[in-house]
Amino acid sequence: MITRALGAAALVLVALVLRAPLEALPLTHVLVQLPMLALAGAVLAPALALGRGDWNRGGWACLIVAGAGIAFWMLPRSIDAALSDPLWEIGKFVSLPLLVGLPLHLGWARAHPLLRGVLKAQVLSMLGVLAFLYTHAPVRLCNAYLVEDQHRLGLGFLALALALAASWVAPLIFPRAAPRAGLLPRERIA
Amino acid sequence: MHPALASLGALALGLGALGLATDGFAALTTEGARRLAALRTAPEMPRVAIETMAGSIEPLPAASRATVVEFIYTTCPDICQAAGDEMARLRDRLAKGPLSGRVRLVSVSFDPARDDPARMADYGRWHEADGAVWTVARPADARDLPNLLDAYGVTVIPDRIGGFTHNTALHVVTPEGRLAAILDMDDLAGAEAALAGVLQ
Repeated sequence: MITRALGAAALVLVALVLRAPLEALPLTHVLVQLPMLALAGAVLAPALALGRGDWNRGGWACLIVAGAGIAFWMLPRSIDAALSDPLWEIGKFVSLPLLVGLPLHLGWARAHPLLRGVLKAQVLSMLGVLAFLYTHAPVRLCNAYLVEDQHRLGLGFLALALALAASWVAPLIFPRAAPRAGLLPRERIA
Repeated sequence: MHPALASLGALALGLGALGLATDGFAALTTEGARRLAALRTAPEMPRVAIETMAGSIEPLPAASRATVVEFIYTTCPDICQAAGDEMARLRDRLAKGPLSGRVRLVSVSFDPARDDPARMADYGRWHEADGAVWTVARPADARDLPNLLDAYGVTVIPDRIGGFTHNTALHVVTPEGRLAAILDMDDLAGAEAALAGVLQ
């Protein structure tokens, strides 16, 4: 419990202390800082007696909250707002752990393997679309970032999609060597 | 609580939040949002004094005329030069139509430290701005600049090669000083239509 709380706090603290360098580029802002904050919430999840009620059967409710949270922070204007408005920045530091990372873990833990598979496929295709969009859009999607940095973020989305695909396929090819496949450390709840 | 009910609640909240964050799923980018805000609410723009390339002082937005405002810096190598050409074309277009004499065109420099009247006059000469209909200007008081850029929704960032990157657009302001439309810098037909609308 204490280790998890400390771990979550450390992640948020590092994301906060390294704000300036991380937010200077969209690549590190979106693919390092935001995931760090979400991970802080996910790390906290097993320590909390949350998500075990019948309301979260199958993980649907929590996954929907997490999905909405991810969609919210995928909007270019949310990223711009976090850079220009301190209230949005505070909202980012609060909502990514509590409304993305935490519910993602709570929902994933109870999700049916079929639903997990669908979500994984969805994540890969979404990253592919984002990669295409960010490398090919003729206009800047964020007013706060340069177009060449936007391209780099697009390549980052592509790299992430390939890495996730590889990590999810690897256990099928090397069933013994690889650990069990999972988006996050698994926490079985009967 | 039944899981289906919890899921529906989560879905409603999620969609509600996303709807709020996108002005009803209409604007996903900051640029889209400010254009939509201009069309929907026509916010009042700050009234500031600008120093033109001729060295004279005039109000922005212009008094008793509609104003098309564009933000540039004269040492810009690419987009501001294209913007200057488009502004010249817009002036020629307006001169031939019913809006002739009712519109002020102003290219405002957001780099007032470097863009003195001489530099602005150079930019004006390159693009054949004579000051009568279209002039190049900078805020008379540089302290007005942040507020001005913020009100118009223009973000200026360093481009790492000594210049700036910025969202360039035509801002159509009514004679009463309200920002009524924001258009791509080459959307001259759109600008003309917006001007006709605000000058009715």
